[in-house]
Amino acid sequence: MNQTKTNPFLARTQEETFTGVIQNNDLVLRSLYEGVYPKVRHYILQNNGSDDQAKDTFQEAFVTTWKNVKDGKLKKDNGLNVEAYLFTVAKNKWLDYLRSSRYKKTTRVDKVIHLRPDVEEEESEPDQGQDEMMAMQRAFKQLGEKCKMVLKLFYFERKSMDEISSELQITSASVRNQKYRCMEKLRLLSLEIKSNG
Amino acid sequence: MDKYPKYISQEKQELFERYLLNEMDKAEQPAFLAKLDADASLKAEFNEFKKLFSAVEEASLHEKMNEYHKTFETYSSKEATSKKRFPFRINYGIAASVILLLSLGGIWYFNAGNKTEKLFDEFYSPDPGLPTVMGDTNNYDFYEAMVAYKHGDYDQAIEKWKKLLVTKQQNDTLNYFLASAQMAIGDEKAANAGFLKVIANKGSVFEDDAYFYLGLEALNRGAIPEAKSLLELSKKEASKELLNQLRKK
Repeated sequence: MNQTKTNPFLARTQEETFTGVIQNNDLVLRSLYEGVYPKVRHYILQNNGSDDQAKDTFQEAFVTTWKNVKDGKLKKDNGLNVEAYLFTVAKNKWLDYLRSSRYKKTTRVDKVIHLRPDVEEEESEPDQGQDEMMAMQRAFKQLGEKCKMVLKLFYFERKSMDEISSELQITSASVRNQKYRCMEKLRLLSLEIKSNG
Repeated sequence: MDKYPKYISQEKQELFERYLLNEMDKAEQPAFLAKLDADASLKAEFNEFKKLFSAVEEASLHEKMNEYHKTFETYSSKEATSKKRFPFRINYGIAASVILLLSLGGIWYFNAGNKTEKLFDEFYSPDPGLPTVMGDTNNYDFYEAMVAYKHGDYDQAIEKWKKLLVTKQQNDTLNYFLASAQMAIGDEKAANAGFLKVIANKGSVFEDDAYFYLGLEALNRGAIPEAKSLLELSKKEASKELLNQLRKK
């Protein structure tokens, strides 16, 4: 059984975890975050890191894991455990940082040479299209609150038109139109950001 | 002339959404993919939309992660407070100071004690607890106490879990977190008894953690050989690290 620390109160199969991550299920994402972060924090604090660095490294690893599950790079049928994978990605990111010139400029090299990379999991994050993605995310932040809310509820939280309609107290037709207009606005803003560098 | 190519129609956006949200039926999906393959401009529009969709998701995930992290920010500040509340370490310091004043031998004891205390401080932090959003009404009381625990209100958590223990004596989860809370307030005797119950429950998922905390408790008493043998029984990474440190002493 490919489970890490589970207990009778939290029984969830890896299949449920995979599906939950793919669908951005709040409970699954939250328990993945809350379950793995303490271990990563402990590891980073033990290896010359601070609380802020633990948070940043873990969140980067969380996004990488989330993407790899969604893109099918991490498959549920090959026996991999999402929690263990996330921990390894975070650990590798921290080891990469410790070896980086940014870190070595301020630290004695002999402090880190005993650390070995954990290569049991491949961390794959292609940089192709990274600028475009950054521009789009910046554009999202610049959208008005209403637009952000509609897009977030539909594309991230996967809520239906009716659910969004009752949550925002507007008609379903209005939700549909706003969703379209906001996506159009997001694209335009992204293109502007990209062309202005 | 427009500065950028025109955005896709609403119908096209909704078609793309249905594919990306996995809402197409078995016949529609291959037909859609075939259409994409045959039409380069449609494919380019689809790829651009897919990126926008992903950007919304990723930006939303960042907001969510910061929301999840708030649990730990509250917890970290409480954790710092609770560590200061640890009564036996304060007594340890006083005892060590007295010994230092008494004799030269005391200087050795003080140093050894300091190292032990330092190691304990380095490795001890209460178990962070379980996520409290599982919504299983059967375990409502358990999770209510878990919320208190995660907020550093160990006394309240202990009170609630003790009530549950009356009918669930052998429950390893309950015993483990009750013991964790007892250790956090410095009631090491009760904590020890609780962790031992967890170990008695063979195959418990908390076994490695229980051995780790038992080892730490022994370390805190200065019982180094006992600490070592307990830590050897734990497969936790932290147990191995602590054991290595103790072997160097």
